Amino acid sequence: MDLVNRIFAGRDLRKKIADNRDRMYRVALAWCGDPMVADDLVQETMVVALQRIGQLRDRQRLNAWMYTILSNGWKQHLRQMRPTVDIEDTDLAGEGDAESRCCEQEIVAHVRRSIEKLPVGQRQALTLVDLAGCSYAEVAEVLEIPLGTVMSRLHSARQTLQRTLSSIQASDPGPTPYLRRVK
Amino acid sequence: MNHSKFRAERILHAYVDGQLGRREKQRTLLRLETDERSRKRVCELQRTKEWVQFSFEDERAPTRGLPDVRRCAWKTGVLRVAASFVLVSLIAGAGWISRAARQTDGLHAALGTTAVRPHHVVLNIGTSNDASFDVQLKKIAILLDKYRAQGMQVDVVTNLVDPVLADTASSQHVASIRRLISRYNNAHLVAHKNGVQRPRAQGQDLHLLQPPTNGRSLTGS
Repeated sequence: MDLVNRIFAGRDLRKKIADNRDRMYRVALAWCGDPMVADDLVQETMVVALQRIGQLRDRQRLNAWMYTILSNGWKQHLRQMRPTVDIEDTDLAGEGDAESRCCEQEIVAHVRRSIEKLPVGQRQALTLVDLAGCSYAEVAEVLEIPLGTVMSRLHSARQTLQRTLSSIQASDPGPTPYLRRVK
Repeated sequence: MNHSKFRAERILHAYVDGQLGRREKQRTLLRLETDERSRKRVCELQRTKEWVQFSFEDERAPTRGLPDVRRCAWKTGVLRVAASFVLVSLIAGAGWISRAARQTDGLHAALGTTAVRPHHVVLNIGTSNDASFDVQLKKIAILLDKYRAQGMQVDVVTNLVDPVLADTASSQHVASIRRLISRYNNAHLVAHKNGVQRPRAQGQDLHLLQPPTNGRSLTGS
């Protein structure tokens, strides 16, 4: 009976891992900005997770455990990448054009580029909370930083994003939304 | 930003992220009712959060299936084979030991005795059959000869399960045991204290054939 339960529990875990794929992909994409790299990172995370599934003692921690693997993979990728241009010095492409085209895609593109421009630590904290839906404690565990640091990074990241959003909307507020009474 | 403002800001972030406990959330909600700036700030934070979510909402991972880890886990396969081999060996070993133990017919050489005390062997008299007790004593004598030749001390343990065997007044084996003790200086009879005291308390005529050495224990020195 115990064996049967364990088999079903294993299947359940595999399903949960598979269900996490899209969410992990979004986080990975926000981290690296490259769909191919993001897909590779997620696939590698899946391989490691399935190989080491027996090491996971507390199943409630599956989310944090998988993002830890993803974060380690990302760190490894950054070490191998050796960028020749400091991303902090790169200007946002088409930043000025956004003033006249404040449509949905433009804002999305700006938000994405702003996230890509954030320092790695802030980017990870922000995306783990907003995209992965991790709690602050889980983010602290994944990134191996104190809870206070998670909150400061989150604060700084959102401040930067807000400045981006404000700069777009200050130039063109767009059509004023209105409410319609529905009976 | 001073410390209290920074703290208030953190609380608003935590509120938007659903990270506040019930009491803290209640306090924040009350504050939002009265503080216009906090309300505005919450709206800004919520809007930023939702833009981040919205920006990646339509993204789907190009690769869909779970990776096949069976090929990657060849090491695990090797370990499984090794573990199976060890298991089979253990089962075979246990079978061999139980067979050897059956062959002694009531005499059980305790496993791991030499690890407990080097150069010691423990023989357990597991029978309470009066008729076959003489046969057991003869087998013990053979084993004592063998271990004496190897220079090993032997502890002969009996649990005194049968009052007929233990009662020195009625037992037919007293003389045989006396001979055994006098003949083999490498043998020492061991009995549980309770095994001696209980029959005495029940009124049986029980005398020790060998002087007792109090405090000696099989698991001791």
